Amino acid sequence: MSSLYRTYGSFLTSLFIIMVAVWIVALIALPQINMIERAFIFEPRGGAAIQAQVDVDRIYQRLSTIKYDIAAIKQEAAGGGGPVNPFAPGAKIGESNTIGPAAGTAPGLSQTKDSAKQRIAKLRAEEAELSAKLVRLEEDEERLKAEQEAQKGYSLRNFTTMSSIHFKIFVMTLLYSVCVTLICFVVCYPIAYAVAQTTNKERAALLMLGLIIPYAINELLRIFAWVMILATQGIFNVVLDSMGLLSFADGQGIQWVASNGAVFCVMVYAYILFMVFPIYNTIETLDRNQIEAAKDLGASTWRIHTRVVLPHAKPGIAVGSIMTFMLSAGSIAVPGLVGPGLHPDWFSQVIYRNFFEAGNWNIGSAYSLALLLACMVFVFINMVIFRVGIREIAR
Amino acid sequence: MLKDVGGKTTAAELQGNEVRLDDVSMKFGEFTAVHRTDLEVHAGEFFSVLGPSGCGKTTILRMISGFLHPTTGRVHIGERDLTGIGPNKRPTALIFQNLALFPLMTVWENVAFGLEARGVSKSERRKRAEELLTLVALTDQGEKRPAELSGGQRQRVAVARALAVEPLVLLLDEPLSALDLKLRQHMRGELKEIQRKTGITFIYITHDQGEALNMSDRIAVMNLGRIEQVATTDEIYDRPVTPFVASFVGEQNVIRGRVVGLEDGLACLETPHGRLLGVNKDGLVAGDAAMLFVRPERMRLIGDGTTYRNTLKADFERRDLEGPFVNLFMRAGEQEIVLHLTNAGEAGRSLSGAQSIGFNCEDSLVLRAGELADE
Repeated sequence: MSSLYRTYGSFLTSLFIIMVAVWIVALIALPQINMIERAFIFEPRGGAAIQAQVDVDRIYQRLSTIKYDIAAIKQEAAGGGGPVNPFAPGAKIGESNTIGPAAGTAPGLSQTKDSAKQRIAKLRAEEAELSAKLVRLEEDEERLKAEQEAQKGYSLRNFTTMSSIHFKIFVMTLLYSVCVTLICFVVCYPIAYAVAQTTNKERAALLMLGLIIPYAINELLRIFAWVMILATQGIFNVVLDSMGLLSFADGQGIQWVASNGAVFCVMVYAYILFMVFPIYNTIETLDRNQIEAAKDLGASTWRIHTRVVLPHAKPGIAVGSIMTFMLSAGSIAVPGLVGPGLHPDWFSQVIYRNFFEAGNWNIGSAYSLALLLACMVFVFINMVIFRVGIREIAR
Repeated sequence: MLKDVGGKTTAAELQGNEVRLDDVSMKFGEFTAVHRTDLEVHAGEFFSVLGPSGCGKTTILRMISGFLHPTTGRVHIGERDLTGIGPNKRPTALIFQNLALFPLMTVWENVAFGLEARGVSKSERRKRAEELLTLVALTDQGEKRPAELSGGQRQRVAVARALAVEPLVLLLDEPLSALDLKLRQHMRGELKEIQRKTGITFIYITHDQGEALNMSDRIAVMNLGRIEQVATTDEIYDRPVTPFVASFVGEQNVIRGRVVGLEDGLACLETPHGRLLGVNKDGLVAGDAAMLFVRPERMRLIGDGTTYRNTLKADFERRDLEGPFVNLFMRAGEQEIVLHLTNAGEAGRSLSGAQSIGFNCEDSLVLRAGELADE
């Protein structure tokens, strides 16, 4: 701190500290605390209280309609059956808005003043009946709401009430992410090794460029590109068709996007760099002489990798796995764009629907927190398996 | 440092083999690293390849170990033609300049790695590794990591690791260059002893002429991709065949001149310092441009009554004490002359002004003028 002060002076230092503090508090701590708090607040929704509220709302609506109808009829009678104000459609509204048995007989415009009185009387009767019912319902609503309010509060119910379907999706999402991570590793390790071991610096730069260029394109476009390839009428099927392996004419197009394989494939493509770079960085620091020494001592290629290169690359593999796993487990764009609803759901989609479709932020927060904890457990297991510390990972 | 294991050295089971390079050359694109070369290394000898950096000595080593495939020619070990055989299938073991020990394995795993690659069982590997570690005086160090050992101990691990695969030829790529002077001199003795006890053919690559002279049976001196001379150490030192070898190995006083006369295998050189006689190995004739080489320790200050056939005058400049001997720096015009005097008593302690220097014509060598190592 004092060295910071010495280097940048009081103004810049305090500005820096304030900005960091704002960043930590406003952008990290508060939102997280808010979400975690929500996750542990159980808010009962739906059920009898909501139904009572809906019923009360409907009665209020009907009462105001009746009031309006009475006014309209009175006006009609006073006006001697003149042209009716088109903006006062009167009974028509009552008719369309009546509910169930409360609906009266359709009053016609051609009826006489006598019948107008009859109609008013009938409406007044209905009004009285509804008002009585309203008092009762409002009492019910109050009671039900108070009951719910009593239930609301800190609890684990957001977690424990997770349905078995959602829990299955949760577990499967973790498994899928492990699959994506494994596939990514299998694809990335040879690439990283090849690039790191290339003696030709220009070729290494070219290979790296080839890996980076796709990342200049927007992630959504990259995903859509795969949707084009894997769609039922997509490029992949066209190629298969032209090779005679399937026939569009007979309606044999394969719906690739409906499979988890498609999601895995797109995810591997989307997150490959996060695996390649850490592995590349560690392999690059491996003394080439060690590979030659192993070879000179008679080791096969397999043994050179398992005994010399892989142990050396361990921290890089751990970092790459953690990043790829976290990204896949939390990915919303890939499962959401590649055949949404056709392949098994990912947990991120469930969370998304809770937030933005069900509007239930508490459940959404709880699910997010569950996923976050699972990911942290994965990171921890990863560090134990690879026997790497935080320090090595940070490096 | 070599220990006997169970009554006999493990080394006794090992044996060397001869290495033969037939018309071998190596080109990297347009650049010729090694020109067409024939070389024969005898079975069980300590053979050094000596030369300045970039002379192609490492290329030769890598061709023998199999990491490089020669552009022309063939490499034989014993009766075997090694063309097309990879480094993991050759009866050679290589000790790298930086040793290239595996840092994540323990010492004994390092030593046993070659056996592991050959599918030897773990208990057998362990036993072999212990034997070899005993051989290089590292008993009970097997569980450590290489980083926990000292420089000299790591060196010995590298030797043990190479010996574990029972190579017919051990290739060493300047393995001592990373060590400090004292340790380097100590390790020279150890390497030489291991070589003597095991009887394996050692091919030692170095740019340090002291190391080469010290350890080797024979030396090949290389320059610019060519082997200039292959001979025993004494021969290399006393009878170099080119100005490069003469000036690269050991110190030399070089005096340029022109041959003016011949007698009894000696050549008479006209130099700025008068006429000087030297052994005429190149068969020079009158009129040839030549160089006369005299070792600093073969020169004497005249004043004790001894007469020399070669004499020259020079001004004393400075005296450097080396301990066992002293260096006297003299100047005769442009010519610098260095003398080594054994430090027995006064050894030039109170010199000044012009001095007469003498040397025997058998100790001076006349060669056709050519490229020197320092130029």
